[in-house]
Amino acid sequence: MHKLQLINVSKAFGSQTVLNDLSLEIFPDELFVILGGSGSGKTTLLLGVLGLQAFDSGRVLIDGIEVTYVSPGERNIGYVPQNYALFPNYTVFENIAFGLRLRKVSKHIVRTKVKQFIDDFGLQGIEYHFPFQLSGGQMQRVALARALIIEPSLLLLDEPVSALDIKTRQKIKAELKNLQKKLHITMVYITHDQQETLEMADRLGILNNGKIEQFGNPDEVFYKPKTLFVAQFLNTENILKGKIAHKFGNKVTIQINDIVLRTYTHLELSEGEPVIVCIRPGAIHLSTYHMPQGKNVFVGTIESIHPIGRDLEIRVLITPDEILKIRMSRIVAKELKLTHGMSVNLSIDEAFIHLIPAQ
Amino acid sequence: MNKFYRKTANRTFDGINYIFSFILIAFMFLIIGSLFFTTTPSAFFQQMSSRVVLVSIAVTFGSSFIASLLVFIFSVPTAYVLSRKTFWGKRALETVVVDLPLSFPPGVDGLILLLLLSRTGILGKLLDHFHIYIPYTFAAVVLAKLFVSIPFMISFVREAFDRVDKNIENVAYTLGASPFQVFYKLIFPLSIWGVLKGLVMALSKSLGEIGATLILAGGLTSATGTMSVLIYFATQKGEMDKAIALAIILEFLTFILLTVIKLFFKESTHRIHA
Repeated sequence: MHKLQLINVSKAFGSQTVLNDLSLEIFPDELFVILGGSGSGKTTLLLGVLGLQAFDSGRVLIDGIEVTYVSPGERNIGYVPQNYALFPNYTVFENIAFGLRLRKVSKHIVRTKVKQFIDDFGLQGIEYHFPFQLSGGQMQRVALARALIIEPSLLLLDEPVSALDIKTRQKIKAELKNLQKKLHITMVYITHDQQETLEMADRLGILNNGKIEQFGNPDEVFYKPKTLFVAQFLNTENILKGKIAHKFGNKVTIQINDIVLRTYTHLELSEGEPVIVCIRPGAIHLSTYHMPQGKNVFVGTIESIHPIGRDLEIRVLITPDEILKIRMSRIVAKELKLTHGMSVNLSIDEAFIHLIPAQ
Repeated sequence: MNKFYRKTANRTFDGINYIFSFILIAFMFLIIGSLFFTTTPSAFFQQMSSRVVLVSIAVTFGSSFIASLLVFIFSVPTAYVLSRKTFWGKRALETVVVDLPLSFPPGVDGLILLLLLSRTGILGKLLDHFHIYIPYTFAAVVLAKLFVSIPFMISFVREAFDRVDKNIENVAYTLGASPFQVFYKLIFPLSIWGVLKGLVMALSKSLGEIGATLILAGGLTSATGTMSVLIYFATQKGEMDKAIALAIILEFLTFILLTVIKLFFKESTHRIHA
């Protein structure tokens, strides 16, 4: 039940600003994901929170108590780095016991507690193995046990599954989520993987150029990006340029070349103002049959069909220079006998058309 | 056709490697082995029983051990500072303590030390107040060996410290370790191979050192006559039996010493690096 607050933290290396007046609040018991690309400031933020590198300005608070100038050990934050960083010269048992021994806990308690963690994390039988004898999944569990045995205020995980194979990754992600709920621990999970973010996050923040561009739960951020960067970073498949044709209250009509779309928005937009239109492929309905005239219904021509995993991505030309991407299962596409150059009807649910002001 | 060319190219590459390795190994054996064939057992054992030779063995190994111990004591903290700390003038410090001494011929090292420690030198003047005079003493032998071998040790140890994953240290700090605990529980044990390599290099350099020792210590007294210096004087005087006997002993003892060190450390570090 611990809370982390960063207030106006900044960090620069020479003339390069890495963190720019960043503020962040992570609530007790939540799994907060910080999502950012390379060079976004993830590592600097992480080192600053851990106390391994000082911020140039700003404050760090844990449970409302300032820890800005407190040493890493006294901050009591559990840390699992990307490569787990197990101590190669210590056995699994000794790795897990490391933090307790530094705290001068009695030998008997260390033995009992470590044994308990070994059982809880399914590490029986390998407690006297060295790190080089472990699999990726086992290393991950040892790193987690080592971080959690000191009963940290919060647990910081840096790309914790990126070094694992897909199967183990799925398993470990589920284990992490269960662990977080079971232990009621505040977890900060740093990643560059949007899929992982959607699967893991209770709440997330998108880091860009040393600032959090957007906070929210996965659905909010994924379906309602606030900036063009967030939309692009989250691979919003359809990002179109349009302008406001009419606005009446929350209701707006958007013109994209010859296409007219109707939706509603809470943004303060005026008629004639350029706007970015984001549409997730799942919100577009494609049919080869005639659709009755209505809201957001129009005709397009199939430009190309690409396999994406188990599905197909159908690219439909809706104006001479605008393409809409639609996702469809291979079976449905086969039934509809979709081919290159074919004319199709499209309809878009107005609730899934999201607008971003064009800067 | 392509397959044939690839196979021929691979064989040619292997062949070239084998030929050059063979030439070098044969040459090394010839150099080392030739010593044993250029003397007789009776001449060898006669030299072995001479007091001068026995004292020179003691001076050589004694001074080399003391120099290596001092090298270890001074180079480990210096390498740690160079590896882990960021400060103004770090590059200059590296140049002064590692690059410059490495590039100096040992004779120049000896000359610098002599100028520094002679009664008119900066340090010599200071030491003179305490009635301490270093040149042409056993301490000068140790100092010459120390000065010649320390840059190698610093360079090896620094490289070994650099290779320790920074994340390992970071995790240890978050678990509550102090910088000293991180050093002796993690950085040093994980760098042991580099430290060992540096020590072996320092010891080898010390055992064979002649240029700096000759200039700073002279080598004319029993306290300063190292084996290398005696070999030099013996060859100058045409006492080839003595020179050969000393060379054989030096080679043999160095070989035994380095092998024992390597085996000992291999045994104690295989767990980490297996």
